Amino acid sequence: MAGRISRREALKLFGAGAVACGAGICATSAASADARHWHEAMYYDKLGNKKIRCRVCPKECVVGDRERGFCGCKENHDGTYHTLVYGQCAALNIDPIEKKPLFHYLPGTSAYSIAAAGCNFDCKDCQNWEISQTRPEQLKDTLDLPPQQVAAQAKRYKVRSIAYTYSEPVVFYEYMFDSAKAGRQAGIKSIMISNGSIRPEPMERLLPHLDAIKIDLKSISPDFYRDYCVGDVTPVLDTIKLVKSKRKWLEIVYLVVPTLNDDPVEVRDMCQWLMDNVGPDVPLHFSRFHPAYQLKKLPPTPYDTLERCADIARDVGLNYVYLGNVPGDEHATTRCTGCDKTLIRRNGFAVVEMNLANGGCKSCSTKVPGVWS
Amino acid sequence: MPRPVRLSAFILGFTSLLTQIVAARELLTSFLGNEISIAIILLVWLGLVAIGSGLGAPLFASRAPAVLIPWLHCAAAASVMPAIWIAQASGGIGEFQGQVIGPVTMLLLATVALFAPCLVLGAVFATLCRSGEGEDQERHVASVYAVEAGGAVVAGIAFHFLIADHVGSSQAMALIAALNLGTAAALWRGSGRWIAAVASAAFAALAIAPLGGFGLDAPGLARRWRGVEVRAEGNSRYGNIAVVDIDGQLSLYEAGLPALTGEDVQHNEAAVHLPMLLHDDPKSILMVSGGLGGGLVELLKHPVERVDYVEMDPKLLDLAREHAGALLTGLDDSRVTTHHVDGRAYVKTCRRHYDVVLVLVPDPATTALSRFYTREFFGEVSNVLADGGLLAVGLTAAQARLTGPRQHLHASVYEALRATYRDVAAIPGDYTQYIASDRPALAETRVLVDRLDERNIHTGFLNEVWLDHALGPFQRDQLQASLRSAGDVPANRDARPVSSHYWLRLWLSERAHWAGAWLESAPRAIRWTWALVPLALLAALAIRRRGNAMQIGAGLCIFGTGFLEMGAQLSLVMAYQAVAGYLYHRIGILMALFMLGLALGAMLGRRLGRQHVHRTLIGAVLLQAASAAYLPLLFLLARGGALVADVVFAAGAGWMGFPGGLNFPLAVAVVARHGQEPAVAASRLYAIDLAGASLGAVLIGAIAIPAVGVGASCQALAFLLVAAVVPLALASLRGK
Repeated sequence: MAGRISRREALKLFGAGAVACGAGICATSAASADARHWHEAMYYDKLGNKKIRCRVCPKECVVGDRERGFCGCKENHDGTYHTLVYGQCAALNIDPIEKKPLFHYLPGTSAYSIAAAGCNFDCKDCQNWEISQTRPEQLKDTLDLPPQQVAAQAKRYKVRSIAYTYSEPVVFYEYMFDSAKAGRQAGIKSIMISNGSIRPEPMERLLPHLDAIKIDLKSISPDFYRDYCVGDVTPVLDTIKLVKSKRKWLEIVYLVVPTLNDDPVEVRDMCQWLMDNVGPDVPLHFSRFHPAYQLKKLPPTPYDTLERCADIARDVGLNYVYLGNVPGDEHATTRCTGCDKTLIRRNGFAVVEMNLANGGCKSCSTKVPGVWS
Repeated sequence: MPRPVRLSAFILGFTSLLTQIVAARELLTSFLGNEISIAIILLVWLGLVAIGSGLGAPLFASRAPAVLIPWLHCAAAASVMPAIWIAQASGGIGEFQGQVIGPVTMLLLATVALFAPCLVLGAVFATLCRSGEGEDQERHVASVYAVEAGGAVVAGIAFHFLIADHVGSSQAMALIAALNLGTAAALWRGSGRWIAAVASAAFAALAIAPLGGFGLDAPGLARRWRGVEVRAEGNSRYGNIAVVDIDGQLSLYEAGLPALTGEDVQHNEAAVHLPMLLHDDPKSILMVSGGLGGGLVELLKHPVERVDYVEMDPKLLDLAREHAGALLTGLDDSRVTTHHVDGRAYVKTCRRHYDVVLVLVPDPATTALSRFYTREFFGEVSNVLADGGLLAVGLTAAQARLTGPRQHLHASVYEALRATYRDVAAIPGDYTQYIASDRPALAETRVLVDRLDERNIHTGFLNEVWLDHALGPFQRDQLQASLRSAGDVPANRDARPVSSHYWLRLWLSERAHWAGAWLESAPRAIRWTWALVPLALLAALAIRRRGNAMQIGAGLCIFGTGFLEMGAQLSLVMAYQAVAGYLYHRIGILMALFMLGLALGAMLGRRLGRQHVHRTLIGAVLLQAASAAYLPLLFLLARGGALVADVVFAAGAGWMGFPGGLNFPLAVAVVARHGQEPAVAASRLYAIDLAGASLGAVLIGAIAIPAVGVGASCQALAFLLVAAVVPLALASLRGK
C-alpha cells in the first residue's frame, strides 16, 4: 500500500507462493507408477520415433515416449508400450452374479470380482470413478494379485466365475486375458462387465476365454456418447454384434438417467437396434440411476420412467426385459415365452424360485436362452 | 460528520451485509454448499469490494463526493437484483442437467454475479472517506467506518427476525434497491436537485411494489431448475427447499441437491432394517433425519413402541405436506413424535433412553454435517442408549474398494466410533454402515433372517442373500483391511473435523486429482506458519526508510487483522454449531454482533487516534493475536450448555470484531502521518483489510480448520498476526 515498495514486495510474495504451490503440484503429479509392475501391452503398433499406436480400444491413442494414453494405465517407454496395472488389483469382492447383473447365466452363483485402475470413457455418473478415473500410482493400496492367484483364489472361494468389472476391463486387457486363461485351466469361467468399447481383433482373441459378457449400452445417440462419456457408440454396437456372432452369452444394461437418456423415441430406437441385430432373446436390463460423481443434482430414476422403457422394449419384441434396483420381484422375474409361467423369480440378488429343467420350462419345455449349468 | 454522509454510510453497511447474506444463500444453493464453495463466495465478495475501494479513490478523485454519492447509490440499487438472478441461474449452468460444477466455474459465476454490486459498494466507501471536508480527516474516516458497521448491525438483526423466514431473495433485493434509491433522493433533495430527487423517489416506490409478491425470482429460478418441473420452492431459515417432479416421482431438494425421493426403497431398507434386526427387541427408537420418503415406513414395520424423529426444518415438512404428501408417510403414526430441533442439540438435552439410535444425516460434506460423525457426538449418543442399545451411522461408498480420500473419510469416522464404543461392526455396501454398541454389535445372518420372519417384515430387496452378501466374512474382511490400511488417520472430532477435510479432497478429486492431492499436502504448510515471524523480521530489516516501513507495517497489521477476523469468525461458527446446533438462521445475529464489536472498536479508535498511534496499534494487534491463541478455550467454556454457549458465542463474536474496528482508524492515522491523504489511506487500507479477510476465508475456512482443527488454526492465526506486527514494531523502535 505504501508506494512502490509494498506493491513490489507483495508481488514477490505472491510469486514465491505461486512457485511453491506449483512445485508442490508438480512433485505430486510427477510420481510415476512402480516399474516392478510393468508388463508389455498387447495390441499396439510401433510408429517410429519411439511413438506407438495403441490398438486395444477404438480411441487408438498415439502415444509419445514417456507418455500415456487416454486410459492413463499404459505408458510408452522407449517405443515399448507397457500396462502398469498387470496383476494390480484395485478392487476385490465376491458378488452374486445377479448383482452384475447377469440373469440368464448361472443364476444363484457368485463371481470373484476384480478390477484395475483406469477407463477409456469418462462417464459423468460413474459409480466407481475413484478407481476408473484414477492413475495406477494414485491408488496407494492395490493388491498384488497376478492372474494365477486370481484363478487360485476363485477356486478357493468355490465360485463359478471370475468377473472383470467395476472399472473398464478393456484397459486392463492383458491382466484380464491371462486371468481368464488361468481361470479356464482351473475350471473357473470368466465374465466381462464392459462398456463394449474395444476393437474387433483383441475382442475376437479374448472371446474364446470368456463365457459371458455384459455390455453397458449408455445410449443409442452418438452425441450422448461423445458429450457424456467421451466415447463413441459405433464400436460398442460393433462389439455387441461380434459377441452375438461368436455365440457367447450376452446381456445388455441400459442405465436410465432421468432427463438425459430417457426419451421414449431414443429408447425405442435402441431397442429396435437390439431386435434387428442381436434378436429378441438378448436380456435387456433397464437400470436405475443414482446420483454419483459429477451428476449429483439429479434424483434417482423414477419407477414410472423405467416401466415405460420396459414397455417400449416389450412392444418392440424383446422377450427378456428386466428392471434393475426396483423393489419387488415382478420386474426381475423370468417368464416362459411359451406358457407365460414363472421360470425364475428373483428378490434383490436372491433367486427365490426356479422352474427350469434342462434349460427349458418345466411346464411346456420351451427352451430358455442362457447358460444354466 | 454531516447527516447525508451518516445516512449514506449507514445504508452502505445495511446494503453490504444483507446483499452478502442473501447472495451467498442463493449461490450456495446453486453450487454445492461445502466449505470450498463458501470460501469461494467470500473470496469473490471481499476481493471485489477491495478492488472497488482501492480503485474508487483514484478513479473518482476529481469528482466531488456530494455529487458522486447519490449516483453510486443508484448504481448499487440497479446492481443488486441482477446479482441475485445470476446467482439463482448459476444452478442451471453445467454441461448436463444435474451436473455439479467445479470450483473454477464457481469462481467465475460468483465473480459475474457479484461484480457490479461489490465494485459499487467498495467505491461508495472510498468516496465517503473523502467526504469529510473541513473536518478532522482521520476522525471522519473512523466515523464512516463505525456508522457503516452500525448499518451492518441493523441488517444482521433484520435478516434474523424479518427476512430469513419470510422474505424471498429478490424481494429482499427490491427492498435494498428501494433503500438506496431513497437515500439518493434524500441526498439530492438536500443539495437542491429536485428533479433527480423526485425521479429516484419514484423509482424507489416502484422497487418496493414487488414486495407484495410479483414473482421476481422467476427469471433466475427458471434457469436454475431447467428441464424439471418444480412443484414448490422456497427458503427456510436453514436454506433453500424445493419439491421437484420428474415423471411423477417427487423429490425433495435441500440447498439445490436431492435430499430424498419417494421411491428409494433400496436405501431405506438397508439403512433401517439392518440395525433394527441387530437388536433383539427394539422398542424405543431415535431417528435423526432420514425418516421421510419411506425411512419411517420401514422402521414402523418393526414392533416398536416409540419413535422420536428429529427433523430440524419445519418448513420442509410444511412444503412436503402441501405438495408431496406421499413423502410424509409414517409421520402421522401414533408411535412417532416429531421434534423440530437440531439433532445434535436434541441428543445433548435428551433425558430418554433408546434401544436403537439411527443417524441418517447426509455425508460430512461440511463442518456442520461433520458434527454428526464426531467422537464427541458419538459420546453424547452413548448417554442416551439403553443397556444393550446400538447406534447406526452410514456413509456412502463406491461399489468397489474404499480408496483415497473416501478411505480416510471412513477411517476417521470408524476411529471416532472405536474411541467411544466397545464393539464397532463395519458392514460394506454402497451405503456402508457402522454399528456401534457396548455389547457385540453383530449377529449371525441366520439370527437376522429369523427376526425378519418373527417380525413378519416384508421387503423389496433385503433378504437372506442380501444379508449374507453384506455380512459375509470376505466382504467385511475387505472393508476392515481397507480401514486398517488407511494409515494414521485421526478420529473425527468437533474441534478437528477431518471427515469434512477428506470429503473436500474427494470432491476436488472428482474434478482433478492434483487438486485433491494439493489439499492433502496443504495442512503440512499450516504447521510452518511460525516461520512467518523470522521471515517478517528479515523483510522488515530490508526496508530502509522509516516512513515506508511505518506504512508497510500498518498495511500488514490491517491485512493480518482482516485475515484473523475472518478466520476467527469461522472458528466461532464451528465451535458454536458443535455445541448448540446448526447456526444458519443465527448467521445474521453473529454478523450483527461482530459488526457491533467493530463499530465500538472504531469509535474507541477514533478517540485514541491522537498520539502514539503506532504503539497503540501494535498493542491492539498483539492483543488480537493473544485472543486468537486462546480462542479454542471457547470450546471448553461453551460446553457448559446451550445458554452458556449463547453467551460465550455472543461475547466472542463481539470481541473478535472489536480489534478490527479499533485497528482501522489507528492504521489510517499511522499512514496519514507518513505522507498519505487520510481518505486515500482509508480506501486502500479498507481494500487490504478485505483482501486479508478473503484469504482468511479460503485458507482458514476451507483448508486449515477441517484439516488441522480449530486449535492449530488459531495458533497459525496468532503467528500470522505476530509476523504482521513485526515490521511496524521494528520501524517504531528505529524511531527511538
